[in-house]
Amino acid sequence: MIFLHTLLNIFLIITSLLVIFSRNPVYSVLFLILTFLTASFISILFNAEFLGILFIIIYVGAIAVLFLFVIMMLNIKVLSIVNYFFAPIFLLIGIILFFQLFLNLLNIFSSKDVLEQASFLQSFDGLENINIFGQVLYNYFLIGFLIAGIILLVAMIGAIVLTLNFKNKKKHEINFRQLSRSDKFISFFHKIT
Amino acid sequence: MTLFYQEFSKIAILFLFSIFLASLIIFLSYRFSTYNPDSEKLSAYECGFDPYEDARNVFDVRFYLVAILFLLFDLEAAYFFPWCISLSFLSLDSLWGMFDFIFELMFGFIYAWKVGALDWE
Repeated sequence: MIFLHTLLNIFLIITSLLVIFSRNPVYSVLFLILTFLTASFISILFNAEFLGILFIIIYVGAIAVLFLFVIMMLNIKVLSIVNYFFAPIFLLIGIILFFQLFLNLLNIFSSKDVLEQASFLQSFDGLENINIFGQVLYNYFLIGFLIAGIILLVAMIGAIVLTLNFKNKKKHEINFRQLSRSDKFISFFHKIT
Repeated sequence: MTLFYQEFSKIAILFLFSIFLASLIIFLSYRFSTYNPDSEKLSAYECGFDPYEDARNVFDVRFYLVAILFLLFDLEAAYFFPWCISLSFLSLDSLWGMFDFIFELMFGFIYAWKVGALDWE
């Protein structure tokens, strides 16, 4: 169990490094999908199977497609010139963010049996991950849920307003007029006796 | 070993077997096939004549819009699942909250329909 967890984490780090270092952007998107899949396996390993399936549905099913579209729109073939001028600054920012996250997580996970603690209520109560999500989210965090709905609405309207060209309307065909056309006009010239 | 891992071990076995089978097929096809590349063979086949341009060119932004709308309704469906499972343990507020959520996204959907975001020219 611990061994599997370590193995999956090492695999996650390797694939996320390959996202950065692969030259072909399409390959890096494929490695990004592999990273998402590995993250979902890790969350399934922590008894959070609903979270893992949500990772696959949302990240692999939708967000990876968005990344792929961005790559196809930008029309970058193979990254040939790499600018290393700003690399130390990015590395510094990355190390600072990593230590911030790492120390926070170390606080949470410092107790030894955090795995048992996390899955204690589930094994005691027979509750699955999706039940816990539902009961906690819709009973205690209802306002956050409603705000999430408003954010989704704003995102939808914003995406439509940004991308759609409102000026040229679609040409509609009037169905009954199409159907009621007959060959009378043609047969006026070609009288069939 | 809890019941959870017993149930998921079958999926893990399936997953490992599929990885093994895919890598075996790739290895065998590399090992036993004749590999004789040629500029005509490796170029993209385009009805007999030489391809004009790259297959990856700039396309309409509406594909992106459809993908974003798909993502939003996908998230909406992801909110439905835990609500449906634990409906009998929820208060009345959460029922009406879900109605409000559906109403908001339905408003967005009707807006997208009326404006013509889902139409093609």
